[in-house]
This record gives sequence, C-alpha cells and structure tokens, in this order.
Amino acid sequence: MNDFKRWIPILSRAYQQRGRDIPQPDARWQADTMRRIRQLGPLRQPTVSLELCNRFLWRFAGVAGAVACVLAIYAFSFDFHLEYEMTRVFMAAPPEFDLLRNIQIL
Amino acid sequence: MSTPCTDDARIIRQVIDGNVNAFEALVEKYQPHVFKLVRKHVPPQETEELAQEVFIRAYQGLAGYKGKTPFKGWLSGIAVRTCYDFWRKRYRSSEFAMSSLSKEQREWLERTLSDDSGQRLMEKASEEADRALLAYALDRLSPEDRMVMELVYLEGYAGKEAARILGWTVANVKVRAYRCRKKLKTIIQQLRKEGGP
Repeated sequence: MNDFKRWIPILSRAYQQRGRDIPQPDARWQADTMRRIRQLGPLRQPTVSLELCNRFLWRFAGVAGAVACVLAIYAFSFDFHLEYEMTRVFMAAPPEFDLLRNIQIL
Repeated sequence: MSTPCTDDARIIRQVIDGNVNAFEALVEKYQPHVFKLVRKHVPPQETEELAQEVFIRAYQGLAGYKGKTPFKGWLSGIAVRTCYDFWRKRYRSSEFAMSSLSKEQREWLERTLSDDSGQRLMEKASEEADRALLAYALDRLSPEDRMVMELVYLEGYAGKEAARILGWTVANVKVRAYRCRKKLKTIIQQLRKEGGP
C-alpha cells in the first residue's frame, strides 16, 4: 500500500470531522447578514420612464448648455450680420437688387 | 402542496422583483448547509464571515440563476468558490503561516505509515493529530490543488461534478487531481525524511 493510499483515509476522516464541528449561526449572524444584503438594495429597480428622465436627463444638461452657447455665438456672428448686410443693400437699392425682386427671388 | 423547489423559485422571483426581505427565508433555510460546507474548507474562525459572504454573493448573482439546477446546488458552487477565493487571498498575504506538526504528531504519523497491516488506520486516532495532519498537508498545496484535493479525494466527488462546482473544465480538474496526488506523495516523503520524524 503506498503512502498516498494510506494517508487518504486519515485525511478524509479529519476532513469529515471538520464538517461535524459547525458553529451554530445565531440570530445576530442572520440579522447582520440581512443588514448587509439590504444595504445592497433591491435587485431590480422599477423602471418608470419619468424616473429614467430624472435619473439620466440631467447628465446632458452641461452638454446642452454648451451647445446653446455655441449656437448663440454663431447666430450673433453670422445671421444678424447677414440681415444687416441685406438691409443695407436694400436701402441702397442697386439695379441688380430690383432685378432679383422682379423675378421673385427676393 | 408546494415542493421545496417551487418554494425556492417563488422566493427567488420575489427577491428579483425587488423584495429584499424575502431573501431572509433563503438565508434561514440554507444557513446550516452553507455553514457545514464552508467549515470543511476554511479555518473555524473564518466560517461565519465567509458564510455571510456566500449569501451576499448569492444575492448579487440571483438574477443570473436560471433554475436549471436546484438552488442548493447552485449555492454550494458559490460557497466552494468563495472558499477558493479565500485561500487565494490568504496565500497572497504575507501573514499566511503554514501549519507544522508537533513531535508527537510526527511520531504518530510514522507509526501509522509504517504499519503494513493497516490496523492503525482503523483505530480511532486522536482527532487533534488527524486535524494537524490535514492542515499540514493542505497548507502545502496551492489554492487550486487544495480545492481539488478536498473535493475529489476527501469529499469523493467525480471529476465532472468537481469541475461544475468550481466552474473549471473537467480536463483541468483531472490534471490537477493527478498533480495533486504526486505533490501529496512528495509532502509525505519530505515529512518522513525531515523529522525522522
């Protein structure tokens, strides 16, 4: 009989003995376990669309603000300037402007 | 009349639907099983903490439980893997000290191993010596080999079952079981050489 075969029954016996000396979990242990589990929160949160908006929409507020600023700057730099230029051309009323108006482009 | 499995399924459904308190029924029902399982794999002073860890992991993974196997089996897998993680951490930490055998324990071992009739194996040896020997042998195996040793050779699980519990391939378990056997032989030989014992 080799050493391994001799040793296994001894180890196995000790291993099975371990399983017999179990500390009995008390109410404190169970309460503590449940306290830690409750801290994790429910597994599946109710997903109401309004709640989703509340949770996620505000995250885009910064980006939305930046986009609004860029558009405002763009509008002030180009659109109003063009309007101003158009008015100036209209006031001067060059012949080509009348032509465009006559063929109903303007 | 509802069977235990359908009871479990109903409770699990409640927990998944957000009723955290329903999980307490599972904790209460399975805590003796988990304590027994964990106690076999880890030192006694770690049992409570690790059993708690098992239930926390089970709760976190409950949404992934498909109900193909009984809940008890699924929970056992989590318990064994939690113990395996415990040993991996323990071996990495610098505080890990391997257990050693006293002079008397070594003498007892030598007498047992040199008794060709096997009579001594049948005797009710001192539990303390048995345990010391078990701790001595297991501490000298890697965490992976330790788990394979415990499940395959000491618990008597088949390779396939051990592989399912550990979440490894069957081939991996078989290779480790073979290596583990060789390592254990070496440990015994070293022990006999060292102490004389």
